[in-house]
Amino acid sequence: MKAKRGFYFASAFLLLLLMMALSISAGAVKIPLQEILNVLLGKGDEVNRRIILTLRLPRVIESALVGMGLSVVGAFFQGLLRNPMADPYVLGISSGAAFGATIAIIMGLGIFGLSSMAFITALLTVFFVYTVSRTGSRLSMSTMLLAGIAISAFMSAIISLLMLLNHDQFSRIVFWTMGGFSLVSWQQVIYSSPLILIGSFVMYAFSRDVNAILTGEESAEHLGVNAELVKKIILILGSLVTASCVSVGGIIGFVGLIVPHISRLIVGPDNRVLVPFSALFGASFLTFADLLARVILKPVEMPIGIITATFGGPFFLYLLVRSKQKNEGM
Amino acid sequence: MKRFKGIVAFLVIFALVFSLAACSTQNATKPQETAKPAEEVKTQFPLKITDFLGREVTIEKQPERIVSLVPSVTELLFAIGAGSKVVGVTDFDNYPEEVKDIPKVGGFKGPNIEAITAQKPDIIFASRLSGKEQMESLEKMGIPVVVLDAQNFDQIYQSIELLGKITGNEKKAEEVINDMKNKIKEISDKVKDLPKAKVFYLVSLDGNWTAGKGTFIDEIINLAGGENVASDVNGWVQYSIEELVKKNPDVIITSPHAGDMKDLKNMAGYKDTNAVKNDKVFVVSNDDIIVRGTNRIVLGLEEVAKFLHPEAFK
Amino acid sequence: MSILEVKDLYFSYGQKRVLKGINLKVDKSEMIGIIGANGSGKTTLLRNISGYLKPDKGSVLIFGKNIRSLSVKERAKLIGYVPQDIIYDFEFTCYDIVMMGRIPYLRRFQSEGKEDKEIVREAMEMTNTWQFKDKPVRELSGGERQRVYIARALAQRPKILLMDEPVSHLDIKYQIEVLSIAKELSLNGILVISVLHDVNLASQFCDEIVIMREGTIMAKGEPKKVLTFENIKLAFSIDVQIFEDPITRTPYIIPSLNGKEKLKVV
Repeated sequence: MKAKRGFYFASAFLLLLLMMALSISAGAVKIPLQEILNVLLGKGDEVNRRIILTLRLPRVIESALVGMGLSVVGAFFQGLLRNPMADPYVLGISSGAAFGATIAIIMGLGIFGLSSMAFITALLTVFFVYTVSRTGSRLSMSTMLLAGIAISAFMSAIISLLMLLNHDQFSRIVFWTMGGFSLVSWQQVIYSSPLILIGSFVMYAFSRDVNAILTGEESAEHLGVNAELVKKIILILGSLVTASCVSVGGIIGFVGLIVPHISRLIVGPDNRVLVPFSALFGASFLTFADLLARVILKPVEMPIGIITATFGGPFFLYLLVRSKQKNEGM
Repeated sequence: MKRFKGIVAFLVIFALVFSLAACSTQNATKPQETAKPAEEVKTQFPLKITDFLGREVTIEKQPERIVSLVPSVTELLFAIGAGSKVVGVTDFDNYPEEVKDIPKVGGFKGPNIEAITAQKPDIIFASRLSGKEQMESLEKMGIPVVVLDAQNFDQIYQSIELLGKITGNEKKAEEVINDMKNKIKEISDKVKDLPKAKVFYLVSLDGNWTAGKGTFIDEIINLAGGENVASDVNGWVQYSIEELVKKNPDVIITSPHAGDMKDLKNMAGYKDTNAVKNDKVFVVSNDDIIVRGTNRIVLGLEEVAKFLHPEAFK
Repeated sequence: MSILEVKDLYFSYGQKRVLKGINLKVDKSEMIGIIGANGSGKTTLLRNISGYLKPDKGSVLIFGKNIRSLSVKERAKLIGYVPQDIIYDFEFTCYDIVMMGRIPYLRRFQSEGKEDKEIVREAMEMTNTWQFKDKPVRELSGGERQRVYIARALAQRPKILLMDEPVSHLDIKYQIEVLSIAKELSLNGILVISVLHDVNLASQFCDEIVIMREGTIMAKGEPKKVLTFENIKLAFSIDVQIFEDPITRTPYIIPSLNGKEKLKVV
């Protein structure tokens, strides 16, 4: 069993390296492998240097980071909410971020202002959902889920209204929400990596607790797990990581949903193994998706959401069929 | 073992669906069909015309109550002197001033059938985006629907001519067309022998969206003595920033709602282009004059030409 | 020092008073059955004893220590809890589940060691579940699943084992199996307290029975002493006839249609 796991991890890590290498070497502008190595070694043509070092490299790193962040949060939220359909956005983070981005675009706050606003409103939305769902000393995850859905719907309506009243900015708002890494530079990598990396790692420390919570919150408490504390920590960190990801990449769907599921099929449900594997696999997945988004219709950039949805749609169906079989079998 | 079977099945399904998706998006970015030129038998009614979707429409009598769901058509109707007959426009209509007082019968979510019928129109001008089902239901009520959304300069002339015939203002229509053609010739003569500048049109700062072949902007750039860097793509797309760096435009043109252009100096990719380095980033005064298929397109052309070749206009 | 002492316990769910002045003292390890009508507060009492619920008034002491002064982990080292409704819509194997019982003894990044693995094995062998350790819990029968969760509670090496209606959904065979294991544990130094739905099973297996009625303890003691016509009538609002179980020699209750007939006790 252990040997098998080691094999899977090694494979996942190699896959990530492969994806990153592939992603750096391919793109709208054709740059031969030799030249890429030259650039990385400090030499190479000026234009190619600019393309690889200021555009491609940060983009590849950021898509890996976001892929990792969304997958880790997805795995934890699925465990915490005990719901296989959960993803990082269930608590209203995506609509909260979109709301902030909409306001920033209408007010003309610039790139940095936009990312910051999206980040802040994403967190405020989760906080609001949390406050609304708290009854007494215990936090009900199912209430949070419903509150998240309700608030998402409400925010979407407000965003539509804002777009109507400001239809000059309509296209800008829509473009932002579609998600993508087309304008990523080192600045974004520097701002988002600490939160994504540290947040993911600290959450990982609570993997075993979340395992216990999967068997029931009350059960978990009887096993010595402070379920209330763990829920809050995962919620806070998960929200911070997701808000980071969304403020840089927009709302990229399906990653946080399907990567944990596929990972679970390969390495099993133990979060201590599932989470790091999802992190590696998710990073590979999104790096690859970004590569496809850049290359398939080059020089046109496809919105990355189309790629992830193309994976996600059929996979959803597969999940449904499989769970149907499971239920019938029982 | 079961797990692997599942993964293989999933990968196969994914591969199939993905290739379908990739194919369809390819098709979606092909250029629009060029409209058949308007055919008419007589300049009297009933008038049989072919609109830009190739639909044959019979107009029984000269219209007195016009609903226009296309801002560009509204503008042209006023330009040829038929503005007083317009009884319904959309929320997007903003030119000329008079349209402020005309009832709005459509907007964000498309045309409002009830509002349209309330105006008792005897003709409706629609765009490709107006909504097929809704147009069909209007046609069923006996109101002719004509699709006239110009996608290039030639179609603007065709629109004007057709509108002139329909409203009986052929003479004024001809004037407007000639005015346009003369002005355009004037501008293009000034710049046609000058070295072409490499131009990139930036829609907004949130993603590198541009206007490729088959857009008015593309035609304007060409007529204004420039070369559209994004002419290797069609329509409105997100352009690879890597490719942009490689192409290295001399001029970047953008619209008033794109965001703060000062940011470009700090953005990776853009900041390495000649355009940003030499401060040749120009904001047009108004989007409408470069994206709308009306006679005001000439103003847009003029502005862009002046950006590209200021010396020729002194 | 008593193993368990409940002093003057009061508990409400919101406005509703559920436990009204519970007093209970247990000095030796034995098997105690809690019975009573639905709504009498059986499960609520169990959850107060485990420390999951915090009482409004009163205290729960284990070996003289107030459980509220203990951390969640320390409580888990003393008390094992087998819930009534077992959740099993996940992919964990039986081994994974039982290993969770070792959580109270492991620090955050500490992996399970040799001792933990031995304890898990022991717990599973005791509950006759070792043979399906690699099977997903989902694929087991109700009785097998129940035993796995008992094994998990045992892996915690508790001094007290609390069970909430552990056999209500099980076939007869599994009811006997599970309760026999519980009895065995009580004979080996663990205080077993189980809420039971079936009065006769309680009578057969438990050393003492606690009858609850409307949030208070109505009676506590040996089955023979406690399972009387009057007590059962008060607690369950039903007339019964009481026989003697020929095997265990404990009271055997059969509801009767009218209490006037009294059959001869064999």
